[in-house]
Amino acid sequence: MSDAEDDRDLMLRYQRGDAGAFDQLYGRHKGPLYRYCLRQCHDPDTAAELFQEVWARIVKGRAGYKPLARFTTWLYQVAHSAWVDHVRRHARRPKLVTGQAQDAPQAEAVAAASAGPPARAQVGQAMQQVLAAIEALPPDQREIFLLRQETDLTIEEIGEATGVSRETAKSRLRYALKKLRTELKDVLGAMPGDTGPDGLAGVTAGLAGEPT
Amino acid sequence: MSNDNTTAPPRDPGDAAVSAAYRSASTEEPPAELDAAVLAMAHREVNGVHVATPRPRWFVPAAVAATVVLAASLALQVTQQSAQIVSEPTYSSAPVADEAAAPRPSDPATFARPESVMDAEPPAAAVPDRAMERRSFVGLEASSEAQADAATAPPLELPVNMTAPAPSPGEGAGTPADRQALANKLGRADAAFEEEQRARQFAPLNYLGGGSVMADAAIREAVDRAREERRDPGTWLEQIEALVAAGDVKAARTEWLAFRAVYPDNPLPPDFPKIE
Repeated sequence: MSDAEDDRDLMLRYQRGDAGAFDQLYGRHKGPLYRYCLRQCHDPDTAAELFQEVWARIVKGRAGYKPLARFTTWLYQVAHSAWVDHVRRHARRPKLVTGQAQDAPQAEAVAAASAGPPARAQVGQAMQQVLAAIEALPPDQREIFLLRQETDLTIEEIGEATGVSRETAKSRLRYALKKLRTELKDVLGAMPGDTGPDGLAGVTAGLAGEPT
Repeated sequence: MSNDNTTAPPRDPGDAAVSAAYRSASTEEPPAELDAAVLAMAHREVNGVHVATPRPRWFVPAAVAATVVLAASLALQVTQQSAQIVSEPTYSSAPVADEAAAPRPSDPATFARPESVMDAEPPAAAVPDRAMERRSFVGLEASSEAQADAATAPPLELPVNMTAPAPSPGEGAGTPADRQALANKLGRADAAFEEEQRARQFAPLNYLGGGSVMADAAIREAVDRAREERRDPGTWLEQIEALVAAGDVKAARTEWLAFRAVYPDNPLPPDFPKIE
């Protein structure tokens, strides 16, 4: 049974009153959804509020759930809708501080936990630049990029979740990647592909023990 | 995370590096308390406990204030309506006015008119009768809220031969003593008015020689009958002659007195029998 089928089964079980099924479902999706909310809101408190709102809508809307599409698609449709509502509610609020300042503690904490003093400073600064570049993306492009990175949704499913066509989603993703490559040129390293040990990905992945 | 190579944009050599950099930098997880809150909410919903949307802080004070205002308004309105219900019958003058507008058999001015006038409808715009005024006074006396209602009631006219007592500076202020004094004055005026009306009503009968109470009642009934039948003088006199011819002198006399009460100046036929 695939993950998608598992998700559907878990959601249907929760629909029938099995609270344990929701626990499993939540455990699978909480990390990506939380990071999606955090990157979209740039503020941990607001992200937590949005995160909770999304799950509340899922819980309350369980009776109307039909396994016509993947659970992940439905989940991020709900998340997109909740985020749009959040933006509308806070339209007059001044723009929150940049992700660079907000995410710096998180990035530094990751770096500090996995590297020695010289590498820690280098990786921490690079992570801040990565997150700042992502935050600087236009909201529509940033959302597509986040969904692409955080979920296993296809371009078509991403378009379905965000309410745009497949071609639009594809175009936005392309623009987002292009901007990030430009913004992070120095960070990713001069070598093409940036998969070598000198690039950021190589550095961070090596520190985290992941293959590049 | 799967990579859908058939639908994803063509991979640039830098895309993998961007993705790897992002995944390395973005590793946050929701706080434990957030996990607990979401799971608790989900469990409550499944267990049948409705998850209420958190109410804003101003909700409870606003609800309490609204309830208090509503209750006070209702109490005030009910109190005012009760006071109106007590005082309204005092000034329900419409039926009295109708009664006053109708002609009275005891009013010689009305029944002394010629036949054509008698058949006509009484004038609609009759001057408010004194009886109506008198009843208003009685109601005013009976009402415990008379002073308060007098302020909103239309001005009342006293009978012609009576003069309204000029209110003293303190009078009408609403003290119990003032109200009692006013009620006494009105009561005396009412009694005098009743006496005047009674004297006026029976004046024709006394003039014609009406006697006992029973005889007066019989005459009034005869007047009422004639009025109901719209009996003309000639017919009435013929009926009286018939009664005399039949030997019923008592009935003939009653009808004769009634005839004279209604038509005091009507000429009699030369051969009309003498009933006295």
